[in-house]
Amino acid sequence: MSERDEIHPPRVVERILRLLLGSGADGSSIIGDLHQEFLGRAERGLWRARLWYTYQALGIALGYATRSMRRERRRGRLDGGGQWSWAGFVDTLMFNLRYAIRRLRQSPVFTLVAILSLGLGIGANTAMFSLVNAIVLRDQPFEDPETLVNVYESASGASLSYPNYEDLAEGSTDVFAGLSGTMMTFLQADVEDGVEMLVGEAVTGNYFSLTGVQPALGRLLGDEDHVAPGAHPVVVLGHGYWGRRYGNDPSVVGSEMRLGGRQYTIIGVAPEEYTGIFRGVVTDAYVPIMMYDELLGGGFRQLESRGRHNLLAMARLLPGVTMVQAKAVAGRVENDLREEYPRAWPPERSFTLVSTADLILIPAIDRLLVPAAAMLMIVVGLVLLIACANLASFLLARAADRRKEIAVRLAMGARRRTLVGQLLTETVLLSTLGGIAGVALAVLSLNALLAADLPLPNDMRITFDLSLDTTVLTFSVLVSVGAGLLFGLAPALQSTNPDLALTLRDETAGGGRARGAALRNLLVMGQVSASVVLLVGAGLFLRSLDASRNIDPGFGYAPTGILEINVQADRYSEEETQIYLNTLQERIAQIPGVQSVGYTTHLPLALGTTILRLEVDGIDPPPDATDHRVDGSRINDEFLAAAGIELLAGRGFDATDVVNGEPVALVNEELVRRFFPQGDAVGRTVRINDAETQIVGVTGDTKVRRIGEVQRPYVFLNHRQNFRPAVTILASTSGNADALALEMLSAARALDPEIMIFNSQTMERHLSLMIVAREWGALVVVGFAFLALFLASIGLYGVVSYAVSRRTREVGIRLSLGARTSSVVWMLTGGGMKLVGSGLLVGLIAAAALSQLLSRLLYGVPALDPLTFVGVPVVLGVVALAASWIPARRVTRISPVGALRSE
Amino acid sequence: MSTHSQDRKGGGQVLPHCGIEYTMYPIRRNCIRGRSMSGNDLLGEFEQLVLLAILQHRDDGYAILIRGAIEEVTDRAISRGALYRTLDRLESKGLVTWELESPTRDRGGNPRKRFDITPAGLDGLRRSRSVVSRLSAGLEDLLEPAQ
Repeated sequence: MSERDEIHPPRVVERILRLLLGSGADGSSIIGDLHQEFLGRAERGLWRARLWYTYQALGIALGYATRSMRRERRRGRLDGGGQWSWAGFVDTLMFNLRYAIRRLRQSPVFTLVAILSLGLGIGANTAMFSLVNAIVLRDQPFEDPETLVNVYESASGASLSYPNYEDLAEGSTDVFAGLSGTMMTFLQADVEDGVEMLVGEAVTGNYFSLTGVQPALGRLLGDEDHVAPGAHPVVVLGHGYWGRRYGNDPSVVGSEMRLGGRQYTIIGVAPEEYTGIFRGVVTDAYVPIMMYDELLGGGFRQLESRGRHNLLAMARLLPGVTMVQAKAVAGRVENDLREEYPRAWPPERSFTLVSTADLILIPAIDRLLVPAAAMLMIVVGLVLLIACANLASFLLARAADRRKEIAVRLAMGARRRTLVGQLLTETVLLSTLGGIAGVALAVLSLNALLAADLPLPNDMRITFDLSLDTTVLTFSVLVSVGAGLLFGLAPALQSTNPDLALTLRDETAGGGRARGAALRNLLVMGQVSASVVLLVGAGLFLRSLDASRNIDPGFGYAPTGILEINVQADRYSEEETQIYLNTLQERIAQIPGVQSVGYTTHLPLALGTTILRLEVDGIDPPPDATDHRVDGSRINDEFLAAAGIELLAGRGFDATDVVNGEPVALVNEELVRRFFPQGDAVGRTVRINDAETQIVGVTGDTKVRRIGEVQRPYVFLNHRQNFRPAVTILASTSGNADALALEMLSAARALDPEIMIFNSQTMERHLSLMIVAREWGALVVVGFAFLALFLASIGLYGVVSYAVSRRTREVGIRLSLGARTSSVVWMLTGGGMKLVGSGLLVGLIAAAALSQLLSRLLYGVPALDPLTFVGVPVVLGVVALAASWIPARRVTRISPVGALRSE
Repeated sequence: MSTHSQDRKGGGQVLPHCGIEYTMYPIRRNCIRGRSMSGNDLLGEFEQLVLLAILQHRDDGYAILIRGAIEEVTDRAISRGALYRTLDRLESKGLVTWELESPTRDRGGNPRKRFDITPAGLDGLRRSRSVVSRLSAGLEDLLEPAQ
C-alpha cells in the first residue's frame, strides 16, 4: 500500500480541478473517479497516466466552466441583465474559443504552418530573452545593491593588488562602511578517487556581511576567519558543489575536507541563489583570503605583492555618502600611494568606482556584452516580426475568402464588435499555441546550449540560471498575445468593414484586387527587408569568423598536449622543483610519438598576462612613465621547439645560460621593429625588470593576448634565471594530442600524486578558446538569418499562390485569348519578384546603416563588405524566385474553359 | 424560447453574444435546453443508454462502470464530460437518483456516487421503448439482423 501512496495524479492539476468543480458531492465524486482510473493506468506507465489525467481534467474543467457560466448568466439576466459581467465575458470567450478551434481544425495545414512559424519566432525570442535575462537583467542577490560600489584599478576594470586593497580599505573609512575583496583561484581538493580542481574564491572577512548574502547552512566566512596568513583553514561550500559532492547532506558542516594538501573545516554552505562574484562562473568553495598563498603552494606571494592584480573589490557606501565623495576619497588614497610607490602606479592606473547595480561583469566586458545582447534581441525581434507578418498575411488571405460569409452575417444584424471579437480570438488562440510551441522550443535549445562543451580550464562550470522565471514567461505571454492582437486586428477590422453592398456584389469580376492585397504586399516587402538585414549580419559574422580562423597565431601548429602544473613551493625547494620538472620533461619525451617537450610560465593567448618593465637606451619611455611595458614569459631551452615558434636570428637558450650567469632574453620581431629599427637587436643589452639583460636571439611573432590584436612586442626570459614554480608544459607529437595530454597528466601524477594540476588540454582546444565567442555568435546569427529567410519565403509563397487562386478567372481569359502558359507564369512570378526587389532595396539600405553599429563586433571585415552585400541579394533572389515560381506554375494546370466557368 | 433575450432594438429573437438571429446561426448547438421532463417527452438515445446501463448495474451504478458498460456494448468511446452532463440532466429531470458512498483510499480520499433509476426513469424508458416497438411493428423482416 505504501508504494501506491506515492503514485499520485499531478497535484496542481487536481487542485485546479477541485477549485473549478468545488468540493461538493458532484465535484469530489468526479475527482474520485478520475483518481481511481488514474491508479489503474499508472501501473502501465506513470507519465502517460499523468498526461492522461491532465488531458481528462482539461476537458472536464472546460465543460463544467462553460456550463456553470451559462447558468450564472441566465440567472443574471433574470435579475435584469444586459450589464457586462464576468460570467458573460467568460461565456462569450468560451464560445469564441470553441468556434476558433473548429475553424482552425477545418484548415489544419494553415494552422500548423501558422503555429510553427509563430513558434519559431516566439521560441527564438524566449530563448534569447532568457539568456539576456540571466546574464544582463537578473540582479545578484545582494542587499541594497544601490549602495554597493565596485572598485577597480583602471577604467577598463583591472583588479586590485592585495596591498593596494588594504591601503584603500584603511584610507576610505570616511566614505565606505566596508571594503571587501575576493580573488578567484583554482583549489585542489582531495576526493576518494584522486584530486579535483575546484573554482574557488579567497575572500576577505567582510565579504559576505557586506553584500548581505545569508548562509543556506551553518555560517559564512566572517571577520573571525580573517586572521593571519595560513592560520585559519576553514571553507564555505558553494551550493552546487555541496549537492554534487555531498548530495546536499546537512551533516557536512563541521566535517573536514583536504584542500591544497591541508585539512579544512567546512563551516557552512552558501545559498543556492548566490553562485559567486562573477555571474555565470560557479564558485565551488569560499576560503579566507589569508589562506590564498598557502593554497597555491606558497609559490605566489600574492598577499605581499603590489604588482599582482587579481582582487575584485566591492564597497558599501556609508549612508548619505555620494559617489562623488567616495571618488574624491579614493583619489586621495591613490595620490598617496602614487607618491610612495611610483613604479606600481603608472599613469593609466587609477582607482575607478562603478555602481554595482550598473555592472554586469566588469566594465571592459560589459562594453561588448550590452551591444551584443541588444544585437541578439534585435535579431530575434526581426525573426518574430517576420513570423508575425506571415500570420497577418495568412489571416488577410483567409479573411478575403470569408468576406461573403461575414458580409451575410453583418447583413443579418450581427454586430461588428462581436465578429471582430471572434476573429481576434482565433488569432490570439493561434499565437498562444505558437507561444506554447515557442517556449518548448526555447527550453530545448537552451538545454542544448548549457550542455555545450566550452574549452574552459578544468571542470570550470559556466552556468546561467536559464530556467523560465516569471520575467521570461511574462515576456513570452506578452509577446504571444501581443503578436496575436497586433497582427490579427488589421485583418479582423478589414474583413468586417461594413461596406456591405460592395462586398456582396461579385467582387471577383474586378480581377481579384482585394483590399487586403496592398497590405499583404507591404508585409512581404517588410519580410524581405528584415531578412536582408539579418542575412547581411550573418554574412558579416561568417566572414569575420573566417578571418579570425585564418589568423596565424605564430605557434602551436603541430598536435600538442598541454599540462599546467604548480610545483608547490612549500613542498619543493627551487632546486627540487627544477629536478622534478626536468624528470617530468624526460618522462614525457619518452612517450611514443612525442617530438619535443618544453615549458613556459605563461602560454601566449591564455587568460591573463605577465607584464615586464623594459628600458632601452636611446628610446624614451612614453610620457609620464619611467619605462616601457611589454608582455613576456619565462621559458626553458626547449620551449620554442615544442611550441613551434621560429628563431629568426641569433640563438635560442641553451646550457650556457646558467642560473647566475649573465641574464639573457629573446625578443620577437615586433619588439625589434619598435625598439631597434636598424634590426641590430642581437647582442644588445637592455634593462628588463631592472636587470641588465642581453638579447641573444630574435623569434617570430606570436599573438599574445587576443587572436585579433595588433601585434604586440614580446620578451622571453630564461626560466632558469627567472625561476617560477608554476609552468605550462607543452609536448608536440606526431600522434594524437588528446591521448598525449592524458599521458602527460598521468606522468606528472606518477612522479607526485599531490602535484597541483591546473589544467590538462590540447593546443587545438587552447587556441579555440580565442574564437569560441565568435563561433557561437556567428552560429546564432546565421541560424536566425536562415530562419528568417525560410519564414519570409513561406510568406512570399503564400502571397503568390493566393494571387494565383484569386486570378484564376483572369488567367483563364488570358489563356483563352491565346496567351502562352509560360508568359502567364512569368507574369505572376514577376508580381512576386517586384515585391522582393523593393524589399531588397529597403533592406540593403537598412543593413548598410546597421552594419556600422556591428563594426565593433567584427574582425578583419569592413562593415560594407562587398562580398556580403552582393552575395546576400543573390541568395535571397534565388530563394524568392523559387518561392514565387513554384506556386505561379500552378496556372499551367488551369483549363481556360473551366476557369471562366468557375465563378 | 425562454433562454433567449429580446433584442435591444426591439424586434426579432437574437442570440446573446453571437449577435445573430439564432435560426441563421449554423454552429451553436443546445440553444434550447433546461426543461423538466413533461409527460410526452421522449428520452434521447444517449439518455436511454445511460438509464439502461444503470439498470444493468443496479447494485453498483458507478459512473466508471456505467461508462464501461456503454462503451463495451456500443463499441465506441464515451466522453467523460458527456456522461457526467447526461447524469446531471437525468437527475434534474427526476429520472435518476444517487447516494454518496464514503471516501476510500484508492479514490484519493474522495467519495463515490452510486446512481439508481427512479420510478419516473423506469416509466420514461418504458414509454420510449413502446414507441420504438410500435413504430417498428411489421418491419421485423427489415430490422432483424440478416441470418
